[in-house]
Amino acid sequence: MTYRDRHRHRPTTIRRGHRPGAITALAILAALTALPVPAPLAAQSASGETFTRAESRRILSRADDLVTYPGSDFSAEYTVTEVRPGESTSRTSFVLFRRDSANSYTILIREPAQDRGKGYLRIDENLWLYDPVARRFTVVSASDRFENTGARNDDFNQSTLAEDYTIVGHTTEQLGAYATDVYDLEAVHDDVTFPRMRIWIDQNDLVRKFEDYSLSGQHMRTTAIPSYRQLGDRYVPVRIVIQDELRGREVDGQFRNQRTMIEVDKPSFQAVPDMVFTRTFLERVGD
Amino acid sequence: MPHVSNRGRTVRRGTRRPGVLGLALVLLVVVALGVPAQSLDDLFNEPDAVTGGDGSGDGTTAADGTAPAGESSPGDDTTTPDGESSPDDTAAAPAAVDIGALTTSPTRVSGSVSADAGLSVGYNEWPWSDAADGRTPRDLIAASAGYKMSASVSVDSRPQPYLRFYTRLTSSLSTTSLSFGSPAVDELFVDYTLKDRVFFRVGDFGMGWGRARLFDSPANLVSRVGDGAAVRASLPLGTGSMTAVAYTLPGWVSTHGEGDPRSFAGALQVERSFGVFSTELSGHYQLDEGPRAAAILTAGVGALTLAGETRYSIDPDHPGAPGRDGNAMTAIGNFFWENGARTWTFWGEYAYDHSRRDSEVGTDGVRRDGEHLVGLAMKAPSLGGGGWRPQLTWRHAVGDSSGQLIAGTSGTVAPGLTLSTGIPVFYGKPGSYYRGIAETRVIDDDTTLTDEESNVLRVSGENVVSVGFGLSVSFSF
Repeated sequence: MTYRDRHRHRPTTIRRGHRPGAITALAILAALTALPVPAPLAAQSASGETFTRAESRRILSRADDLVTYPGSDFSAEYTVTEVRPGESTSRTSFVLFRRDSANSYTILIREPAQDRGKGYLRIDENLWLYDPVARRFTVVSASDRFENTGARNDDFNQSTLAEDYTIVGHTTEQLGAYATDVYDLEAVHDDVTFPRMRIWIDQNDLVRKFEDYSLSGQHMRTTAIPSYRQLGDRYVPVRIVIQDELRGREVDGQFRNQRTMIEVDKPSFQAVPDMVFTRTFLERVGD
Repeated sequence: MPHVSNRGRTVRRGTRRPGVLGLALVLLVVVALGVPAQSLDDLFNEPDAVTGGDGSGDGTTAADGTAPAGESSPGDDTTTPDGESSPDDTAAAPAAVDIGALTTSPTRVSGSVSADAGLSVGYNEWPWSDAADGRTPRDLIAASAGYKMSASVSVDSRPQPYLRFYTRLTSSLSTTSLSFGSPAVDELFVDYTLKDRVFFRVGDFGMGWGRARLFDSPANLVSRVGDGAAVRASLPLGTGSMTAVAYTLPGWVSTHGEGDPRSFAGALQVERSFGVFSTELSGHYQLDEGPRAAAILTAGVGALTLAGETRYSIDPDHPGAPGRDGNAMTAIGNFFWENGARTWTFWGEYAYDHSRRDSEVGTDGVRRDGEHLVGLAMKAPSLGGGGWRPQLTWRHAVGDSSGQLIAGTSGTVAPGLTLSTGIPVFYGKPGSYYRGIAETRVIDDDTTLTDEESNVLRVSGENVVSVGFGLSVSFSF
């Protein structure tokens, strides 16, 4: 049975009528960096299946839609814990406000104390960092590491897999308790952080895991999303673990990767005032 | 300095919720991530109990059967990030971020004290140059020292989400009378936010517009706001915002009197983002000075940020006349690049301002010419612990071939104790643009340098090349 056969008969229960939303707090790495990658019009997977660009879009859109929220604002509290083997463990907590309809988000850092008041404002493709000490805004790159953790600034934007990637390979795999479809993806433009990805999508179109690769095939990082929270007909990843495949340290004779754990609390789709998505708000809160 | 770094950050507990929960979270993380090298795939051994709720807070439960195969139904227990058990996530309306709480806090009194001392040794003129006038290198050696001490206290009160009062008082040690003067009010303002829509700030406060990093920002039409009293209003406007400010300065009031329209000035800025571009258009008007208009265009391309800004001023006394005594245009263009780990930073800038060029040759036979300025700067990764990031800054006046080159760094040598070191070099003929202002504006207003580096450089006096050291002890409460 091919993927499409299986999927056609799957009794999926997730509603997808609205233009779904996105929060992947770890929005599945929508953007940045990278070198040009050719966009094949049709590609053949190891199982012999081929995917046109339209089919890729359809499959990936289902995953995007569950965690994208164009019809409402989104807000939540995030705690990012960075575990560096053999070194100190750091913790950053912040509040995120997202408005997918305007491709905007605002982040207010609450901890650690020395960074309290610092904030990020994304409007369209512009990302500003506000430093309350210097009272100055600087433009930063969405592909930069977020606060020196394994997360990237763009991880907090909406998921745009369908827009950024096309499927070039497909297999199935049992991922713990989940039967998943595993897709190999290649970027269709330069504005992505990683030009190649492999993603694990469960039977309800929720992305459970993905691996990021450089153009040369170097495995850069692995992200696991073991927990989602359902709010109405939308989903919010509430527990995300990112493993840096390049950074780590040998501890007790065994190599341990650096890991970033993201916990999401108080997710909500309540309307957020327009002012929150302005530089003035960061000045007002962060001064 | 605008750079971001969390280096050396340690786990902080109990800030969001006191003590035990914070500790529980840390333990949870350590156990979950940690110490044994658990495979990420192990996280999926237990099916996700997708918890339900309704983000709008109306208590809507999750649709039946939406949980992945093998999962428990919505409403089953799950573990929250705090490690607590949620008995029924579907029954209670989920908590949302309280925006009001972000802008509300009890009255806080904080302050800082710092004491700095610096020593510099160098040449006050280049040996064997014409300006050395036959003096030996030994004769040209000059040493200087300086010190500074200041303290500030601030009060920040945010009793309501829409209301805030803030003031900061500062007192500094006079190096001539050797006493602390009466505390001066650095800032005192009240914020009022009307219906989460319009933000007002009234009082004595600073503002700044512009993207310049090495030279003065021509689009900073509100640079004098901090010298007087002002009212500022900001509100969202499409995908951007609009800010208006009206202010008065002591000099205008003393000249024209209170209430005279010439004692006031107004400025307006509209900023908007589209694609990778951000634009800021602004205007300023004061009756004596005439109108000024400015524009800023910023573009972020990957890790590279490009910015350009220009200002056009119309002189009412010389309408239509271009140049120094009439209508004038100033501009800058710059770039800024930082690698993903924010360890290497490079930036550069070109600035044009015709008024920086002396109209006549001075008595020293030199025409100061700062019409065209160029600058480059870089910061290297930290050297060891203590945050020692070497920085190199170069500024050059094209017209009279003068310039400055500053290599410096500072870092923590003991808790609360910072050591700075720098080598400032100035070149060009005496009286040229950078030789003439080396000991004043360039160092004092150099926002690319830390306070500690500035202290070192300040004590270098008029030397053309120096080696400076400074120690600073400071703490905040």
